[in-house]
Amino acid sequence: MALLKLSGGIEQTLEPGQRYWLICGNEQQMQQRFDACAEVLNPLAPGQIGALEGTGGLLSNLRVWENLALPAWYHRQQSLAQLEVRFQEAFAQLGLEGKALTQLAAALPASLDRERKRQLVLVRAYMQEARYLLADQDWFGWISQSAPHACKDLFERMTLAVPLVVVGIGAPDPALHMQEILPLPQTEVW
Amino acid sequence: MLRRLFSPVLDPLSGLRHAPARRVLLKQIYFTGNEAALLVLLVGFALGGIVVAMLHGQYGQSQEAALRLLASLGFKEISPLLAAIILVARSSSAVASELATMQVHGEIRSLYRMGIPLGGYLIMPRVLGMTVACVGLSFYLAVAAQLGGALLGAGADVTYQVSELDRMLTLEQVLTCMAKAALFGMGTSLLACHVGLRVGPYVTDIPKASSRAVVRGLSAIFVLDFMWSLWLS
Repeated sequence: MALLKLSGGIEQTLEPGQRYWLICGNEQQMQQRFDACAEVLNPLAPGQIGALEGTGGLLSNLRVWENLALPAWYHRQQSLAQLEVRFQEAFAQLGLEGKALTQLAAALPASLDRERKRQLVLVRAYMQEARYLLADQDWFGWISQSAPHACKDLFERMTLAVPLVVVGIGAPDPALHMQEILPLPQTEVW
Repeated sequence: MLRRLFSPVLDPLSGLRHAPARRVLLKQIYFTGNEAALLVLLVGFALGGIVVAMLHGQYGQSQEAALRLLASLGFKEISPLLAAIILVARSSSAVASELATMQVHGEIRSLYRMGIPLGGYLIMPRVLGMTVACVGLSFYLAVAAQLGGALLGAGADVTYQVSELDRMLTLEQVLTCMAKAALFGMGTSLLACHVGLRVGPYVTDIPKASSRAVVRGLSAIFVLDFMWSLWLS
């Protein structure tokens, strides 16, 4: 359990396996609140915050393998051999192995389409052994609707034991059964 | 107290504990230093020959005096300056455009979200890498200039002149060369990072950052060199 406390009177205890929707007014606020959530959660589990961004969020000067290994390698100083095992595990679940996987690992993000980048950030979170998942509305919309089944299954398994916070504009779709995170009512000032 | 005083320097340096930051540092040294080494050696060799030829032909200096003057000029002034100019032309623009691209495409934000510090992962390895590379390149350039000068001045007797190199060089000249190169390398790399990270949100800002890094880098080198001459010479 962790307390997500943001400016503007937002307070929410995050429990494993629960899904939360942080309501924002506009795109700019959404980005700011995503940053704020990452800032609060990063010290609690360095290198284990899975940031799932709709645009991909991969570094253009690193190859795919380097990109996916970066957060776990930086914060948790895991050996590259260990990370490679998790890398192969994750892609095996997505049905990608052998030569195709080797080619993907050596590719630069600029050569990939948006859907592939969205899959890759999911794999990155898997390699991080993420204890908190932070997604934006765009990425969450993709995984909930148009993502391949293998990606959906992997995501469902990952969210069983960790809290997921989706930062989105407006209220969530009621069909998603998510807990809304709203600012606390103002305390009366005497 | 001491820790707080030096924290702006020590905190980013502590990033070197992390393997990915060390990798960025080594890559920077490779691209800035190794890949420019041949160019610098050629420039140095030619420069030494030109200087000795001019001293010989126009001012009638003796061979040994010309080489002594070349050592003093080369190590204390020309080599750090030329190496820094080559560094700015090759690497400042590359660093600035790389960081500007990351900024424009929201990659700096992604790093922040992964909890990876900008100073420790992006800036410090580039600054340290370019500084180390500039010191190495200056030294290579100065030594190559001395060899070029010796070859042109002495012809077949070049081995004698090379063996006499230690008599012509002083420790102060070598240290000045390295200190100046470190100053120029650090100054230009900091400027390149600053320019690259302060771009606007548009793709058209990337080439602007690149050219700005070169122009400001060149200006910075001459300003720093002038200040050095004013206070330390």
